[in-house]
Amino acid sequence: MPSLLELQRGFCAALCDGGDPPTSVIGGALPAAARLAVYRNNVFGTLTAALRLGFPAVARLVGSAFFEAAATRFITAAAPADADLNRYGAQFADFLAADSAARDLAYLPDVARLEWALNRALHAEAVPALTAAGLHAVPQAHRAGVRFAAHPSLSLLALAHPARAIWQAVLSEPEALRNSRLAAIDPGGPGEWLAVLRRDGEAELLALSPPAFDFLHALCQGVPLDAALGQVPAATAASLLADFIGHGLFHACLVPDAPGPDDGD
Amino acid sequence: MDRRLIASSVFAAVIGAAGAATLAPSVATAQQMMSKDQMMQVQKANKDRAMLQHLVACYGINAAGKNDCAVGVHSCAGQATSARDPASFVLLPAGDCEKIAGGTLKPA
Repeated sequence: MPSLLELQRGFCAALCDGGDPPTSVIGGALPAAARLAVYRNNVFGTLTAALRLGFPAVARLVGSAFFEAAATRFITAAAPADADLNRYGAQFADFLAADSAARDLAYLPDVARLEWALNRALHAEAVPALTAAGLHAVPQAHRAGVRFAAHPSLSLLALAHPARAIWQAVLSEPEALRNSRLAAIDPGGPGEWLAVLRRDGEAELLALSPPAFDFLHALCQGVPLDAALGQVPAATAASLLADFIGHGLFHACLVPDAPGPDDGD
Repeated sequence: MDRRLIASSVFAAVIGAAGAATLAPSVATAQQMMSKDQMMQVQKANKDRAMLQHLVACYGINAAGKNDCAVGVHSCAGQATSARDPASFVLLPAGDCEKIAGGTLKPA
């Protein structure tokens, strides 16, 4: 008699890899392998449906047969680690980038990255954004070295392809509009620097210039304000930071633990 | 001006600007707090502002159903004998990607 752990491992291997069922799965009206196949089909069907809901633009771009095949390969390679399927699919873009069948669609992984960022934004924890009042509360002496914590719904995407335009076009309705938008796209066009987040219950996409992106990225990495200012001309820093805060990109600001010697006031 | 000073003036400008009801349209409040020199800098910055462009609000994703156990599609017994075999799926993408100019696909 196998231990429970052995049974679980054997069952899981047979589900994911399509191997023979463990001997403890017995046949009846259906043979053991067919019984397991029912289970397997439901697991793969459910996970594929979850991916299709999370990546509608990718699904449309590649068509349903290809999407199902790619999803099946992905599920086999990276089964969910979390029972909440809203959190399933983080690695799908990287999987597509490495998948030889999709290699002619160089922009596809970027479209998947954008869709995952939107997923993340929509399912992130609801926490308030940092406001000007929050900034005002920072003591004068600590302002230069203040650090920011990104809003949990925020993703920053540096994309090599015009993924936003493709995403927007392929999800357009009706079909005539979709077709004309798709026809107008240059898939080899310039890349994009995007911030994706949820605001007032809806996902929001912001296009950034590369310097603005670098500035925001540094701040979100926890680089103190004075150090991050090296990323952008001083003249633009104030309006950018005001925009970042106005768009709710930060959750909090943190004052430095150990004030420097010249923090006198 | 060293970075700490710049940071402080940036901070002051931001508090003023972010204190205005909405940020995007103007920095009117900030202007009251800034010297003429700073103001001109900010105005120039605003002109340059292809920097941050508000694009799309609202993405109507229907996430409901992702965790439903019955999203799937398969009547159990009917599918039991055709378990998906990843190796049998080597297909070409055949969706709307074909409508993108220059996106023609070649067999892998």
